[in-house]
Amino acid sequence: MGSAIGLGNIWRYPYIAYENGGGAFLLPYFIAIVTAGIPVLILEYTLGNRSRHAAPFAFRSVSRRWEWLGWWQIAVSFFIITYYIVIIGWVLSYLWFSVGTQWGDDTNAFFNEYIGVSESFWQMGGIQWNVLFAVAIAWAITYAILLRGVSKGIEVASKILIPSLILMILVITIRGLTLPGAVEGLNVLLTPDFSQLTNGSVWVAAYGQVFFSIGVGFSIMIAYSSYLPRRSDLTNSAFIVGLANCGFEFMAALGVFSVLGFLAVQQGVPVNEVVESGIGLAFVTFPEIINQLPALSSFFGIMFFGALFFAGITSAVSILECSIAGVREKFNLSRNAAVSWVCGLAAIVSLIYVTEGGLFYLDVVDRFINNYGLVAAALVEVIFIAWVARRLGLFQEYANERSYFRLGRWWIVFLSIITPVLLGAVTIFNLYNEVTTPYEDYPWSGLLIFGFGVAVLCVAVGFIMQSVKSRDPESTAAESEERSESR
Amino acid sequence: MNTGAIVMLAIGAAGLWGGLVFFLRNYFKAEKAEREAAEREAAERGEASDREANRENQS
Repeated sequence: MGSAIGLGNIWRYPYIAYENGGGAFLLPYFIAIVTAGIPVLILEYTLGNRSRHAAPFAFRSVSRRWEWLGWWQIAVSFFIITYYIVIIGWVLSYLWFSVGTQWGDDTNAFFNEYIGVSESFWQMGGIQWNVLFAVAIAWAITYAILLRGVSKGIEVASKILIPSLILMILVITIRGLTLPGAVEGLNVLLTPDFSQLTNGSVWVAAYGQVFFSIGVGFSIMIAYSSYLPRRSDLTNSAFIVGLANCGFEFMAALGVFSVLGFLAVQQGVPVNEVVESGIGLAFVTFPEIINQLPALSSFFGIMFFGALFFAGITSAVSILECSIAGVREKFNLSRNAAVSWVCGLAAIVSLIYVTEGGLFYLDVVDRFINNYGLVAAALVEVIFIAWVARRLGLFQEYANERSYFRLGRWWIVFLSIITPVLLGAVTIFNLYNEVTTPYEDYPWSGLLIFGFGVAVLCVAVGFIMQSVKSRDPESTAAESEERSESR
Repeated sequence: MNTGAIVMLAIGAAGLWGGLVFFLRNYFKAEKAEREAAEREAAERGEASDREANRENQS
């Protein structure tokens, strides 16, 4: 749950729902959860739990020639963490700025000044030391959790952070609902526009949101499920994680739109004029809302940025854990060595986003790695298991042997037909848009290097890592067997 | 709030939170069944060992 619930649940879902039919979006969203999100989650749980390996060796256990797919997913996760941690750094700074609402009245100017954004894409500029300081703290916290291991570090952190996060979002939602204008915000979010359901892009958005949000295709769920006891109820766990994640973002959307309604009323403008998503929502609009609250504005700021921080940190450790597990198995490293190598390398790469041009690079990498890394890797994964290796029947049997809720024929139909067709449509649709309209009018050179370049690099890393000989693979396999027997 | 929004709120809440409660209930039911089975097994083994000890004492 800690892995699935991340920043996107709070700042991406509300906007996507609003933009794609409001309340009517719930229909394609539900269908996407049931036909793609949860079935793929069950597939990844089964693959990891059955093989007792991280993604590369899990795919290798199905077919020796497909180890690269696991490395591709790990490379995608690696590039995601390099900028994700920078956003957590910003959140940490804003957690501090919340005390006494230090951002002042012009929150947009404050944010631009804080990250020191340059005037053009290729004007990289120097390192922003205040941002670097916050990012270093974020790295130190993540590193410390990871060093403590899976049960003492990640499990303990999640047990504390996830309930706190849910409580914080609950507080924000309740506070939001009691503000004047909340109803206007909720009407904008929930009023159904059923005519949108005939629009293909709404369905593409629903499938895209479910995939990003649940966190399949990252290789995280494969690594995490390899740590679960063999007798774990995989199907029920997948439903719990999937629904908890989506239920959480639905609740967050109610909170976000009720406060947006409040802001609109304060400014005397329609709600759709204040709606924002992502970085703009968190670091510009929310501080503006906090400024206008009648009381306890600092407390509300701490709640909001604290929630973002907790959501971010639990996702960050999971994103790193899949790389760590993969590297450990491949090179037979100790946990400490693997954690240090992966975090060290990612920390060096993350420096690029701490420069004045960092926001542009972050924006482009995020866009391309999500659209063509995650979704494409998940698509290939499903095609590989369903059509190349033809293991769905075997996996269904494995899951049913240990699950309270039995998987029927529907699971195989969804994974072999519906999920690949819809994920393929999502990828083609995104690619078409990308080629016809340059993203945010950034220069093509920038989009080619930071966008398509990074997406292609991830695939290349997959093949390169497959060609590298494993260091003592027998002892790695033996260690994995030992891990499975000890459970 | 308008009627359409209220209906969609109810559908979202029932579908997502209701579904979550349903699967959480399954989880706890399965856990309870597993725990009870383990306790039953332990009790049966205990009784069997008591019977064996009694037989040995009588002989």
